[in-house]
Amino acid sequence: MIEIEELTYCYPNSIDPSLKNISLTVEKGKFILIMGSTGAGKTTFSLCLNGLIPQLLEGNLTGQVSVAGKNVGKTKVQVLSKVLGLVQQDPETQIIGRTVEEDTAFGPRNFLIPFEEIKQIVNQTLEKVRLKGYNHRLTEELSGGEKQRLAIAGVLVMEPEILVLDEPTSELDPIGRSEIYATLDDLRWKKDLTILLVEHSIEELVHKVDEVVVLNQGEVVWRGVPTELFRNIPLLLQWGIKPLPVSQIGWDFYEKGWISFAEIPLDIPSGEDMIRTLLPKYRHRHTNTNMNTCADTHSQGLALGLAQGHTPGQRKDLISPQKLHLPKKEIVVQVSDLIYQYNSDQPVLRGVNLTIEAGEFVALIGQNGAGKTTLAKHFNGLLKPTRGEVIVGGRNILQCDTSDLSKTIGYVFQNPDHQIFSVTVEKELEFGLKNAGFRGEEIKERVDEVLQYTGLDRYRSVHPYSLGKGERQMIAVASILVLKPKVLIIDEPTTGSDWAGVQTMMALIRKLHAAGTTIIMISHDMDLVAQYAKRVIVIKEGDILLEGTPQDVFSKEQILLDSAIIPPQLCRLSFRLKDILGDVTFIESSEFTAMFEREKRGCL
Amino acid sequence: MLIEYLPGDSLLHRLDVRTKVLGFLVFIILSFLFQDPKFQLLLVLSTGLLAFWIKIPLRKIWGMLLPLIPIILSIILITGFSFAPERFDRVSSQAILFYALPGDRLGATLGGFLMGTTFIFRLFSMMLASTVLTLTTSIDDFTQFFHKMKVPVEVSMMLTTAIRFIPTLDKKRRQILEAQKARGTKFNQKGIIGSIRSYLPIMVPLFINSIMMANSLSMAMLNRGYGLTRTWTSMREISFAPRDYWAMTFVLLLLILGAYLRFGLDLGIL
Amino acid sequence: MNTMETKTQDVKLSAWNVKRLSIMAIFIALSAVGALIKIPSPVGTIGMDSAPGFFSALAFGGLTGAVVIAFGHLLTAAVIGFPMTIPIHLYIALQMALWAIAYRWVNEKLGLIPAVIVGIILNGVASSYAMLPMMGMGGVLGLMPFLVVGAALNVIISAIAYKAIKGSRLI
Ligand SMILES: Nc1ncnc2c1ncn2[C@@H]1O[C@H](COP(=O)(O)OP(=O)(O)OP(=O)(O)O)[C@@H](O)[C@H]1O
Ligand SMILES: Nc1ncnc2c1ncn2[C@@H]1O[C@H](COP(=O)(O)OP(=O)(O)OP(=O)(O)O)[C@@H](O)[C@H]1O
Ligand SMILES: [Mg+2]
Ligand SMILES: [Mg+2]
Repeated sequence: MIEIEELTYCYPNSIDPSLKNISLTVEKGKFILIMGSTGAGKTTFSLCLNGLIPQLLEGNLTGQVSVAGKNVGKTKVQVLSKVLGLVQQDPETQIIGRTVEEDTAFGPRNFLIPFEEIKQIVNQTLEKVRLKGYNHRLTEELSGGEKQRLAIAGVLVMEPEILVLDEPTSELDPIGRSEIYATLDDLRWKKDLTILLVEHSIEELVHKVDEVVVLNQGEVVWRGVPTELFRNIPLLLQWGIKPLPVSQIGWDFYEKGWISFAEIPLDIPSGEDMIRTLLPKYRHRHTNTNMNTCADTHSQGLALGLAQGHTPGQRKDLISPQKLHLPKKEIVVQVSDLIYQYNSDQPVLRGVNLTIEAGEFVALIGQNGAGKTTLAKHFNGLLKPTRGEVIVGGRNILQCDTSDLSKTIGYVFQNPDHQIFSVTVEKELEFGLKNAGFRGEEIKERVDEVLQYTGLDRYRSVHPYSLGKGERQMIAVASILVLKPKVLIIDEPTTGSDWAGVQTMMALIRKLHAAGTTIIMISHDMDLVAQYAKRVIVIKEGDILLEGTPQDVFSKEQILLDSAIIPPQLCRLSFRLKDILGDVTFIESSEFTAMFEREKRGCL
Repeated sequence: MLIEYLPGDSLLHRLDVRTKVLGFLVFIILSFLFQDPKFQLLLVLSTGLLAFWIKIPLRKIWGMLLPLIPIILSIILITGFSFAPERFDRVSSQAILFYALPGDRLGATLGGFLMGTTFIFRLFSMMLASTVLTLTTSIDDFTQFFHKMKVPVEVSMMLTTAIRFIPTLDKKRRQILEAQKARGTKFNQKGIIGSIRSYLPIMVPLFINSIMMANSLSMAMLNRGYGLTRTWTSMREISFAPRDYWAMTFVLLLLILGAYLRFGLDLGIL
Repeated sequence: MNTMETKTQDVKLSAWNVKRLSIMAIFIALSAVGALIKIPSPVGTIGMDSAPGFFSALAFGGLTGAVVIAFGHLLTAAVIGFPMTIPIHLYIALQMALWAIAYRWVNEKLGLIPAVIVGIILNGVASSYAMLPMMGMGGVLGLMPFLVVGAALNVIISAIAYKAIKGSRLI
């Protein structure tokens, strides 16, 4: 189906090629996963497949790409689109029509397919992506997940033989994500589609894909069956791909020589089996909780070069951390009976009550549209309560301005491109300080400090938009940090980042937290939430559904499922091991390995 | 936040776009034909009637009028003073009401004031007529209209895409505004320099985001076969119904009547 | 379906034209959105409706700028219901297109600062006089301060934004 020979491509305005010497063949009906760190060239590669490179983007292309027997360089993109459909990264800009039906019909209309026939295939396609009956809905009013489905429908309706999807689930809640994958899997079997999928997370995909291709700095560095790759943890770490938590445990045992490579588990049932077989043999005799956890600390230290003072053992205490230091904590955010309503009829927040103390690390989770962002925007006064009260740092937000609050409450939004506007990184950081009334030396000192702290020093006088998205994300955080806020709100700080980027960002956040900053994080990545947050708040339909330590919250699997949350893999593993673990929920792989005997050796 | 369309089922809603546009053109010709405020008032009243018929919310009319008040006042005053008597055909219009400055300088002519009133009536009636037209015609109808008028597909594609992206960009605008507010941007700085300084942090990211959006939009359009041929399947055909022929006849009769009054009977000038 | 048939036809819209078209469409939409950004000034609130057009003239060429600014003006007016009537808005749109081309031209010949000055004079003073037949001298004088301040804000912001973005790889 796809044959690529010696493909090398260089963007017109860059010196180094973004793709180097790629040779690849893909057979019909395969499901291929393309992985790699940020900037590896995944998007560039997918653009080469449908001819947008070199037909729309110029630049220097050598080598041959042919798709279904057509030479991509010589066939018009529009003609190729009948064979190969590309779903791009951002659903928002791919939706061209005003209504769902109009948008889906866009492709076939260009091919002058008769009106009646269009109606029919539009309906069929909408049904396939589970948007049946949405025909006359305005595209603008769709939710994130629906938009992502519509983007797929717009391409599917042209009945391509090959479907290429570039991170189609980046902003979805866990259930939304697995629904999209289920749809893809379905299509593949029913329609005999060839699928190429670019994706950062692999948990649900392990058993669905036939083959994985890893790109690194524009080159194909690995290619083979997924099980081979996902068991090989060091390889994954080397390319900045997030390993599966269960296989991380398995790798540890493999290193000890307890299991073979092929026995490293890739899903929960096999993880359970492994633990059940190994436990009688190697059970740790003393239940020492304060065990050092090499594997975990090590991998983070590697990405960052920092040591961290946090020991996971502490987290296992059944008494929650706040209770230990209860008396002296000041309250930073106090929300009482908060009701908020946008212009429409239904309130989005329905009577939220919440107290956040200084020094906490709180995670807000919940499905798309639950009201997490709406709630967090009250904390810095961007939204004012329709009813109820929000007191931040002792001040009622009704009485203060967002720009005044910005000195104590930092809010990092998801998309860094909404705020970066200066010509250099340095100037970008100065902006907030100037607004806050700082002058001269003070500004310089703070900027220097934060540039060091975030590792952006080398980009000091570079144009922010010549950097990658990950770095821009960091600039956005840095531009808030210069204000030295006491509370930091981060709204989905890691969407679309690769694993290394996530680690850098989270390490920075943890460092800030250790220095006393109160952190409020919104995220759809349950692994991160479990790993970093001290308190988890689940929002559902504008109200708090659950609240507690990650262990507590994630052990309520059934309730969570109703609000579209799937607990992290390790939590689910520990439910299955309830008979052994009792009521304890483990959230880090090191906690599992700690149950076992340890050999006398240093860290990995 | 799209171009507003007032859903409804009145005759005006059901008429073909082409009929409505013709009616609108005739209306404009009529309103430029006459200088006399009496005739203009008649036009205002008839458009008012139409507006009433399709139940335009009154709030909307006020919303449009309010910002124009300073201009309306200055039009009446300055036209009153600046139209010299020689510019009027009728003797009555040449009459000078009073002088603004001692020594018979800067006289306000009656005709001048009448002319000012005409300007305002004309503005008002055309405003109503435009609103009636846009409120009773959906975007799809306008697209069809462009198609029928042989406007190149690129132009109508460009316009429909632009309309589709207004809400998306408006959302971007809000998000950018929020992000910058959260960084402490103040929007109340004084003077032109201050305004520029306050609004650059909004406008620059807006431009940047728009460029990125345009890039991926062009990819998406090509991806879906846009530009393969110059035409595309129409989803809906508009067609004339008997009511359209009746309405057109009526409109043309009005035009002839207007022309007769103006040129045949020499009415409606100052 | 009829792939074979269409393939034999000469492709009229090249990829590049599609790119042009989408830039125009997005910036036209941005003009309408810019009108919602209300900047307070002594002569009333000013919208950012022509800044996108002036910006496109600098960044993507005079013709693109002219199309954006003209259609942008019409769309902006349509969104708020053609406050000054359709024919007058058409007339203004035509002028704006000319100003955008002139702006780009002066920028190329003399540089950005002269272009800004010319832009403000054309869009502030010349546009006011262009209303003479419609509103009389009264209208012109009533309009002038508003238009001059509006033009100044829009033109200057477009120029600074252009300078700021030119350094990246976006344009
Ligand atoms: N328009 C462009 N002009 C110049 N260089 C570009 C352009 N787009 C991407 N690049 C560069 O090409 C390389 C590959 O980028 P690409 O977007 O393909 O990465 P990716 O693997 O899709 O990353 P991500 O996971 O962030 O989406 C990067 O180094 C990037 O900086
Ligand atoms: N500006 C707005 N105007 C009207 N409704 C809005 C606005 N912003 C959000 N909403 C609605 O409020 C609800 C909650 O939105 P919110 O952004 O708080 O969700 P969220 O929990 O942050 O979701 P996500 O995980 O997708 O970011 C949604 O139904 C959304 O459609
Ligand atoms: Mg990418
Ligand atoms: Mg959100």
